[in-house]
Amino acid sequence: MQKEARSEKLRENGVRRLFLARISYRSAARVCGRGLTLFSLGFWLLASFCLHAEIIDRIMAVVEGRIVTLSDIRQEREIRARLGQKLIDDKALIQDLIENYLIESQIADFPGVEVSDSEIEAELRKLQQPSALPSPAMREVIRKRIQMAKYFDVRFRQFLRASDEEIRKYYDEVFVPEAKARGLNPIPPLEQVADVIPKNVIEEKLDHEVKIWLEAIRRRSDIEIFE
Amino acid sequence: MKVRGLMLVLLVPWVVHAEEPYYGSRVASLALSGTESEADLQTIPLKVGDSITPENVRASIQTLYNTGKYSYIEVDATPAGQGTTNLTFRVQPHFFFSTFRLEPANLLERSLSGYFRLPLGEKFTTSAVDRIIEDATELLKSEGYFEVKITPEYDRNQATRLVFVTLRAEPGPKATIAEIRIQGGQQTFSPKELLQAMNLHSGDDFAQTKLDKSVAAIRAKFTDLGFLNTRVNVDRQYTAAMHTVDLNLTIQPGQFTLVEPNGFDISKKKLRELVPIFEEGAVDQDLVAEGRMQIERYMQQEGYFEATVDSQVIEAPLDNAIQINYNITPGVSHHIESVSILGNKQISTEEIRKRIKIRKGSLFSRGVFSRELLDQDVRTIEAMYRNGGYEGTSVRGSYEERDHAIDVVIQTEEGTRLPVDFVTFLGNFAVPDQELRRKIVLKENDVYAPVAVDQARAALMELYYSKGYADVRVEPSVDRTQTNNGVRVTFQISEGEAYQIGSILVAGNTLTKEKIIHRNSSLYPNTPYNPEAILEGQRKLYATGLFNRVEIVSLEQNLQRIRNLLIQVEDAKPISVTYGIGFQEYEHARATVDLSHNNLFGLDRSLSFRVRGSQRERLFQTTYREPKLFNHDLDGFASTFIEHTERPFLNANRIDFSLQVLKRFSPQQNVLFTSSYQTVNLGDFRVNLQAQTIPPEQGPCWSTTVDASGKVTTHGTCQIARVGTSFIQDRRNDPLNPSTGSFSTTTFQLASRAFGSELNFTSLFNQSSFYSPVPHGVLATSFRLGWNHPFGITGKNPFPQLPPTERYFAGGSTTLRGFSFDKAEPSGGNIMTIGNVEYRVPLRIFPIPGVGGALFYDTGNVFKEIRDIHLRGFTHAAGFGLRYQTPVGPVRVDFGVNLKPRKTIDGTMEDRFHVFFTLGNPF
Repeated sequence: MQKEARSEKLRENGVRRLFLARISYRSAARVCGRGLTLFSLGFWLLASFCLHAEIIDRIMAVVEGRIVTLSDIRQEREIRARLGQKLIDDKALIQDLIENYLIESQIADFPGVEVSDSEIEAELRKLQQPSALPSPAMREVIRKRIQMAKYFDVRFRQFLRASDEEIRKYYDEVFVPEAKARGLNPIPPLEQVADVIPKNVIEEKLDHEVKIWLEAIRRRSDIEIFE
Repeated sequence: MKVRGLMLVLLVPWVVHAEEPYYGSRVASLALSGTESEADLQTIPLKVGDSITPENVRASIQTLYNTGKYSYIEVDATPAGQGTTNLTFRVQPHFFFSTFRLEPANLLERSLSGYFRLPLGEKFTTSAVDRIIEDATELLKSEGYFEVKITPEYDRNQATRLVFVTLRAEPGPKATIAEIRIQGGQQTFSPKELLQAMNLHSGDDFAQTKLDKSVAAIRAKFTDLGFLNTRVNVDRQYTAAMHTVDLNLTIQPGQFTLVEPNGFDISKKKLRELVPIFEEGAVDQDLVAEGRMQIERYMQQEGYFEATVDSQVIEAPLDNAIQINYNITPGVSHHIESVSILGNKQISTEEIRKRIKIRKGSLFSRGVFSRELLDQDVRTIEAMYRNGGYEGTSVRGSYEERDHAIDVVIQTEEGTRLPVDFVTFLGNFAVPDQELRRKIVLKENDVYAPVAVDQARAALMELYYSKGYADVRVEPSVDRTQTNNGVRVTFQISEGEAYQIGSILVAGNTLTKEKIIHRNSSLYPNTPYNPEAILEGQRKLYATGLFNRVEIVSLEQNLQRIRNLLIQVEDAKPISVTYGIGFQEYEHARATVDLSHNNLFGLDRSLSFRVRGSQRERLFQTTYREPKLFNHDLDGFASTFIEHTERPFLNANRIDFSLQVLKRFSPQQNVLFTSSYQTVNLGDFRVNLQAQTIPPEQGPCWSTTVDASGKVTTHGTCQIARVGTSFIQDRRNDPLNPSTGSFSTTTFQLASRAFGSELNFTSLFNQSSFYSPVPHGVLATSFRLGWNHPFGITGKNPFPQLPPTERYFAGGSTTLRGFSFDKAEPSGGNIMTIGNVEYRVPLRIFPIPGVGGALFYDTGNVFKEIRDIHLRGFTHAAGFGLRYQTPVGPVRVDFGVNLKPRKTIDGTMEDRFHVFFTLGNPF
């Protein structure tokens, strides 16, 4: 009985405390709200009198003496969007631009990798939306991409071959699981896909070679990224 | 709610401003922030009033970056009202690398600069730091710190724009070797033998350098047995949990190779020198052929001039073995009777003989000759004439044989020397012709010589460097002229830009003060940028001995006509302890320990302590050195020593305190001013202990008594205060073993009661030595004159006025070799005259290089007074000696004969023969 009375008393105290807390909270909120208002007003007034400078462009990275600016990144993002490519964040975009610059400097020392206007036109026809006109920047990007592809062909691809063992391995470890995952039934035999798999194997090898080659170039290049 | 609404309203202007289109608005103002001068703003394409586009903003950033001054640029825009924008280009000038430090410093034996190149003075980039971190990580891993992690810390000095990079390493535990497994090679050596050769054991600290040595030792073991091309592959497996490394060695012994000379006996050691397969550790046709040629050459040089050598290779692939036979047909042995050089007038025969390889035979040698050598020598002589400007010189070599004796004749027909008709300069815009002509020795109407043209070119480069043209190129060309049958020498000059030194920054010094570094470099701001002066500055800083490493680089800035320098140093450990042992005549073995601090307070001051001891000497000395005394080019020394010395006729204890000032006029000439105060305690002065009658001595501050048994006792302590000066000129080509040049030292001292001395006297000493190359060797001569002149009260006394420590004594391995140490005149004298002549020759008859001989003649003596000098009193000694060159001078054994032995005081004759064994030349 005493225990119950005590509990009841505690409950009553608790409620009272809660009620008091609520009252305090409301008062506090009222006080706080006014304070916040005054603060915001003051801050706005102060800021309004200050020059709030905006960075409209800056150096994001320097690659072997070539600068990558914020405007370069914006332009690259825009071009990728127009080309229908997957959008990536700025950090990844900087890395891509850095790699492009490094590859371009390698191509500059490698004669005989030229791109004609007709090749650029052909590529644009594949990609362009009918109503949009390609900007000079877009054409330049296309030209560089074609040139890069040609360079890799000459520098790496022509030396790459897919051995029978590699074809068989690709078929077993990549093609068959992928086919099963897609629900292909029956799974085409190796002979049926023999003309496609070698190309994939060579593409993988090419990616691997280019990756190692780029890593080596990065390691000996002066690259500075400004956060 | 209302509050929130109000806050939202208040934020609207921010949102509106954030989307304000700066592009398309006009430029209201341009500013450049972060640099002192706004001059670069004039170069950018954007101007006030232009419409702002992404293209022209980017182009402006590019233009500013292209100045080479800035590492980072951003463009800030603020609205300026009425649709215009204020643009501020905020720039950050480049920083440059200065010091790199690895912490903790004791992880590696040397600093990082001792292992790989650091980008000192280059623009700071984090990628350069990343590369160094990668290299340092690999290096530490090779030292056994497999789990090392390195993080960089940068300390940027805004004033100097230098970055101090600290690489903080967390090395982790050092790996130790766990197990060593060896596979292969056990048919030839047991595992125990291979492990012994490796000299690596379980539990040892792992280090790649030790492992490389072990692998080399194993390969050498196999090569010594004849197994060439031995491969040793090492696979190291690190276990992170235990911090241990297992080493798996796989040995593939190479081919067993046997080389046999047939037809002539050649020692194994010589064969290894001649046949390069051993040095290369491989066998191939080219190396076998080269071995054949080397053996043939060797045979010819041994006197078998008609020797022929064939090689035969026999392979036994099943046994993995190969035998190479060199079949030698020696022919008849000859002797080179004579080598005559005829027809030469302008170049002496002596000069030619020095340069040719053919040698006449001697008692112990057949001479050196082969047809190939003769052709080589003919070409050498032709080149000598060509370099001397003699056109059309013809040299013919021939030889005749009779009875196995060969006479070689080299006949020269000297050509003519052409006159220099014209000396022309092209491409010089900054320096007029007259100034260039004054600088070079080569003049019109001189005789043309290629070496003179080279010297002129060097002089012109030096002139341009002194004016700051660091990139100057001077290319001489020589053409024949029609007019006088002479030559026109044209110097084509490409001047480049002239640079001045801007500021000189110092980095890396943790102990030495900057002002000491600046002072010793002798480089000054606003002076021409002279690459030779910079090299000289580096040399001077190294010469101070204060630094382990000194580099002087220019900062990688594209400044117009200015190059700022960075002097990067690594302080050497200031405290050094050196010790040595030696052997001295009379003293016999002696040891020395030196402890010194060479850079007190970082001001290039030094304090040293020396302790030297032998059977007959004990010395303790301390010396303090102050460079740049009173801010002049003078070195000051304060020195004190306590010495106990025993000589044949005296024992003495001395305490000395002296002050010295050294002025270096040049590396060859110095003047030394000294003042000293010395206390000499004469414990014992002995003259002829066997004598029955010895006159007692009585000096101003000492006396000797002789008792009835003949025992002599000396008492007394002398205080001697003196001032003096010495002039030293050293023009020897090599102080330890000179073959040319001269050495002269002259010392004058004055001791006077006015300074507090008990004795008054002057002392003058001169030693002059000359060295001249002569046929087959060097002629060395030396003259020594010493004169003590007591004066005043001291001069009134009869001899000896001066204590024995101040008198001259002669006799011994460095003075008169007909006498033992100090025994030419037992009581010493106030006058010393000594002359020495020595003919030093290398002895090539011995198979050991560096052995030489000498014939010598010594004369002179010490005399009590000037009036006692007479030729009858001169002693004469002659003899011969053997020398062996070591890095610290020749070890010498001299056999001296007293040509005129005299009766001693006790009636016996002086010993005639003496042998001396010591280190160093006599003079």
